[in-house]
Amino acid sequence: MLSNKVKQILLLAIGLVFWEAISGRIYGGFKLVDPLFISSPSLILLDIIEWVAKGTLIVDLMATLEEAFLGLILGIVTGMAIGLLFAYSEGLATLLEPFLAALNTLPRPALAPLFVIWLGLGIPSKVLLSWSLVFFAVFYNTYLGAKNIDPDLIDSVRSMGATSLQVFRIVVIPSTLSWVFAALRVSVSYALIGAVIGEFVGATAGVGYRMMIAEGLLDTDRIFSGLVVLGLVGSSLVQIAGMIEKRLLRWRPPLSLG
Amino acid sequence: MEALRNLKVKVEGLNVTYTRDHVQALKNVTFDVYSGEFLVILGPSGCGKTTLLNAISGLLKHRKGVELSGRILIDGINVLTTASPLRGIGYVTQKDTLLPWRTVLGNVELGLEIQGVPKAERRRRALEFLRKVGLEGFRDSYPYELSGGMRKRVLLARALAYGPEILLMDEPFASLDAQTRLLLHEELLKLWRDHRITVIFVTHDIDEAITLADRIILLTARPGSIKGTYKVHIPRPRSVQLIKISRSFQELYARIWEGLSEEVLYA
Repeated sequence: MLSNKVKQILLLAIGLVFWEAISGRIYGGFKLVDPLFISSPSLILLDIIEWVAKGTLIVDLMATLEEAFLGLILGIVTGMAIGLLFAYSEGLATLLEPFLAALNTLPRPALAPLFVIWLGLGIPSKVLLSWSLVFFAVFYNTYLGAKNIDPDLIDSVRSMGATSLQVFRIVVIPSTLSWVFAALRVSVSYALIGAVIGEFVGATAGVGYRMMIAEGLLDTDRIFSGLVVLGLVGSSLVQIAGMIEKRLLRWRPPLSLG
Repeated sequence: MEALRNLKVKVEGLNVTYTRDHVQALKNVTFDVYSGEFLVILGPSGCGKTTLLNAISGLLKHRKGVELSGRILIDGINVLTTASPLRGIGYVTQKDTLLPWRTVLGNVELGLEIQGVPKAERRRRALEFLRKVGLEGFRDSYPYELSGGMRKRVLLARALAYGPEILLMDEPFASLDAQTRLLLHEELLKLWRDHRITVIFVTHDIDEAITLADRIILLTARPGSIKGTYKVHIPRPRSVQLIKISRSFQELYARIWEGLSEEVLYA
């Protein structure tokens, strides 16, 4: 019989054909669905080609990726640093935990207008938004990871004569990193979400920015093009993150890889 | 002959209390361990055996909620007061303390790495000890890929690879099946003989104690204190399978059981 892969491709093809067939076509004097609402696969393809040909897609994509990437890196670095600091300083953790929890429940997109006022329409305001999403994911994972280190592991290393610094390097960091890597896929998609939402609110370039302009012009084709581009880029990035995760965590029993 | 042997560890009037739950774990424990000796500490569950090893290893003095008094001298240096980390001790606990993200080889190198031994040298030494426990073929495996017995072998190799003079073992083979256990007893005795290391081995199993020990110290139920000392006169090298049917084994077993069973009732 057909493999799942083939079935999936067939399903996709059927969906696209159906979409194309109902979009704007007139059957017996009756127009099924206006392309203003749903565009159509062929219109989207043409629009993407045009977007590429004009040379702006690559610029927009690079802008969005740069924002997301910087947000991701900064989020991981600061999230780990603060997470470890909290794990090591119980007093600080209890003191500041309520504030962080409150900040974390704040819908991050609601901060976007403020970030634009602070940092302007350029890349930094998007990096900040992206960071604000990644940071909390990494921070909580780091904190939990560092708190959940098996004390017997620390004891065993200490009994071999390790100093506190050696315990940190040999046990705490690798153990915590494993939690951070486990959150890598989520972090990558958060980073991209942050960048695009930031662009919606105000920008000068970016895939989200083009989509926002298209909204004003009722250019449904472009909005769908943007979705296709973001979908493809996003899923490839998450796939890559998953591969990195799997490689770095290959010491785990396969079951927990999920 | 006995008096000429070098004193390696001296425990003197050791008291340990866990202040949080007001439990006294050890009470006035005093004993000597000679260089190269295989000493077994035998006692009912919960009598403070693990506490004793934790105290000797120096781990206990860093813990909160523990009150220690008395002295533990290793080569004349008081473990309880010295500021420098102890480097001459290998400790195999009941728990599986292999670092899961390190390969077998990476785990065995650990102690050498902590001592700052250069990479090539520590690789060579680690491989040598992996070979001794018959696991060189698994050097690149991760701990989760090994059986329980193999992990114990790696732990043993790890504890010995950095050349400690004292090996502390806390019921290391308790979780293993009987056959694997016998094999590991044999390997342990061989490693002990080859490296002339001082072993302090804790167990609640009389069979295991007699099979391995030069001398057995029996602890009472909590708070643990010394109830008796038994010398094991069975000649070495011993056959871990055949030793149990020898007459001297059975006589000693009976004597120790008499003492231990009273304590089990209190435990």
